[in-house]
Amino acid sequence: MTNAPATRTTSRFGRARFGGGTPALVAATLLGGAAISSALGALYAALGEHGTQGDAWLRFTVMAVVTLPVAAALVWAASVDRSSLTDATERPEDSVESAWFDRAARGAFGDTFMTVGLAAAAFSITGLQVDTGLLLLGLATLIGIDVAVRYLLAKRADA
Amino acid sequence: MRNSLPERRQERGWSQQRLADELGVSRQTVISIEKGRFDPSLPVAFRLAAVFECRIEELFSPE
Repeated sequence: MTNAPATRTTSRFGRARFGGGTPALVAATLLGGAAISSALGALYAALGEHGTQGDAWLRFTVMAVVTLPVAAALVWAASVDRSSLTDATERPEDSVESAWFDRAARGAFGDTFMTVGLAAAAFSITGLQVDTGLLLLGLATLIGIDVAVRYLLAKRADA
Repeated sequence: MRNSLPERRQERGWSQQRLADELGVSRQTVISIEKGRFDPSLPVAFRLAAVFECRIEELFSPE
């Protein structure tokens, strides 16, 4: 088995899994992202307090602009053919990076469980009231940072 | 787990990236396996044995 591995045409942005090339994937990403972010903007504007029409447009615009990058990224992730990406491994589940992520996610689950339990106890005892949106945002941020730090520690230990 | 991957790979004149491409995993995975810091999954172990045309026991041995 001394032949070179089979080469395939790859690019940084990849090709669409539904058959199109990179231009089709870019178009789907932008259009899909815009559709999702517009829908979120419309929902946010409709659910907001009734003010002037200008307020509704402002709410729509802010929400649509803020969510567009994330929505476009999600559409790209759902639409891209992984095998067409430069440097994408054929079997990521067998790679050491997958093991690092698994370890980080397991550790973060335990941390989250403990944090939520302790916070629930603290809030119950003190009667403290916290905005639900802010609380969930803080929890999501904590989980993200926890996983990232644990991943880097696992990488440092194994690399 | 001890392994003879570095020696077998160098016998063939392969880089770590070349072996990673043969296995379909990242180069970091090959580095970690060679250093004995990451035990490969059974499918990867079988692919390694197939690539080097030997048995898994000839590649890996317990510490």
